[in-house]
Amino acid sequence: MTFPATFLLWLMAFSCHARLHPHRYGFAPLAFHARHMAITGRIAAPVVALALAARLDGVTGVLIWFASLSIAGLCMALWLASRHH
Amino acid sequence: MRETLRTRLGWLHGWAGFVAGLLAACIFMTGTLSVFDTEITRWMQPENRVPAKTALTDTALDAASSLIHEQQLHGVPVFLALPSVRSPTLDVLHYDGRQFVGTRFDPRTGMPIPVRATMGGTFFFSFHYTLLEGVTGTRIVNIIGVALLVAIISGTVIHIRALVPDIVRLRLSAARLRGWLDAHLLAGVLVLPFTVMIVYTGVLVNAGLILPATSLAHLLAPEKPGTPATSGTKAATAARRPLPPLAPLLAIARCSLQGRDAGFILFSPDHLSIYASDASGPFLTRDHADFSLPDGRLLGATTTPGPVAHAMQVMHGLHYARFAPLGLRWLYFVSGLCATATIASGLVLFLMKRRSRSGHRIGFRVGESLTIATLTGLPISILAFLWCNHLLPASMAGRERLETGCFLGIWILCTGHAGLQSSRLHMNAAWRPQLRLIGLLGGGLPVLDVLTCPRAVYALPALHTALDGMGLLAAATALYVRHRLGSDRT
Repeated sequence: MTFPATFLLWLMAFSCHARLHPHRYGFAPLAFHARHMAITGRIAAPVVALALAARLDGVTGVLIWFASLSIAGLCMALWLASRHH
Repeated sequence: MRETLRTRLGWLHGWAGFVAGLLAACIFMTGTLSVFDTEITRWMQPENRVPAKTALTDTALDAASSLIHEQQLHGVPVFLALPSVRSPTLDVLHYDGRQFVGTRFDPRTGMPIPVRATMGGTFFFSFHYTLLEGVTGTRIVNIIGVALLVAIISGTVIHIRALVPDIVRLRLSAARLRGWLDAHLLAGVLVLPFTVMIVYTGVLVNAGLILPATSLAHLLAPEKPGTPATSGTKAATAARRPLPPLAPLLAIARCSLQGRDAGFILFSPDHLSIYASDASGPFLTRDHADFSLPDGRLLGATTTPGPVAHAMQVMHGLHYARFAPLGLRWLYFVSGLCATATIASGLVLFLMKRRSRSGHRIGFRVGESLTIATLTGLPISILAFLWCNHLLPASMAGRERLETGCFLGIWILCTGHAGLQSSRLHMNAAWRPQLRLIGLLGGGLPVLDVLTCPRAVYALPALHTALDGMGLLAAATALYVRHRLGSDRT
């Protein structure tokens, strides 16, 4: 269950990242409060994912954290690309 | 950052990436398959239908012991690979100069399983780190690894400004070159931690072959505890006597190795060594417990202490991933595919950027045909290798050599085809038929598997579905790229 959880947290972090760069990713600019929320989400989600992954054996946890970063990033990029396409 | 530095690094990234990338793509492609080398061997030996996690019996150990004793009398240096989650059979193996061959025993009954001779998944593993050229090949692979690290570092520096903001940016609807560049950057940046880890650990695993300081390190290294010495007569007498029962020795070895499972047993005339399993943790060690023969008395356990040894063990463990459970193994596989895609898109970009300026030159055409031979020729030959395994008669003599011959022959044909088409200046003429062939061979793999080995598919559905699925994935990717080439009017 660790991988799905870290994957979802990374997806959340990437979606916050995309909302923080509205011109690059074609979103409407965020309001001041929402921008702060997005910044918090972009920082907090990977940290929580790392804490979750670290509960496993050290090496395995780090590998899962990085792998979920890669796969969540790819999924987010494909979704963003299909949205524009 | 000064633009001159970016320009120079761009040149370095382009050329180092292209020259190293041609071989690196082959190394990564076969390395990615090697993540499942044991499973591929099982797919290629459909006669072996022993389910996973089958308990090992004393009967099977005794049967293996008898064969080992017999082979020892003939002077064959053998070892016994114990059943594991990935390979549930009990294997008595020896090295024939090219690969490990021997007899597989059913761990329940101790009956030999009459499996077909095949190169199996270890073929991809050997190709991955030797390019089928032995030590010279390993040296080349290591040098390519170093060049790849240079390409990665220079690429990261070039892209550093947009590294974080553009981390999930992919513009499929933009110009063709922009789309390929985005794909290259996206895959490259997102799997950067994995790529750096796998290349760095890979270089380190065989660093001794390219670093001249190794001989000095050997001189400075502390002496290893020697193997218990026995006189020649005593050793010869021990070899003539049957081996002691192995089950109690395995239990003692488990205690001596801090509770780790045994992976394999090496036999000498006067003693045997039980080694800890590679799957027992991320530290890939060669810790073992020694027992004298023929009485089976514990002589002691050998472990490698020290931070340097532990660092090297974890480097080996990370690269080989033998400790990884199935889920993590799939993550290695997906990351390997992404890293291969990064290299492949880099090769295509290199050619696209130079086509208008140098497309007519012979050097460009050679580069293009080599790229086609790598990116489509290698998958075709891999699939042909798998087809050959299922189509050749199971009892045919020398079939493993034919499998290799088929792999190399098809690859040479693909290279020839690519060279011929490139020399005629037909841009997509070589890509399209080769991509179609990948679609045909990959898409046909499940059909071939079901038609030729229905009992194996029924007995081990998950394993066959996964491997046939890889064929389908290759086919779908190839047909999608072919479709994009066809619809491209730019």
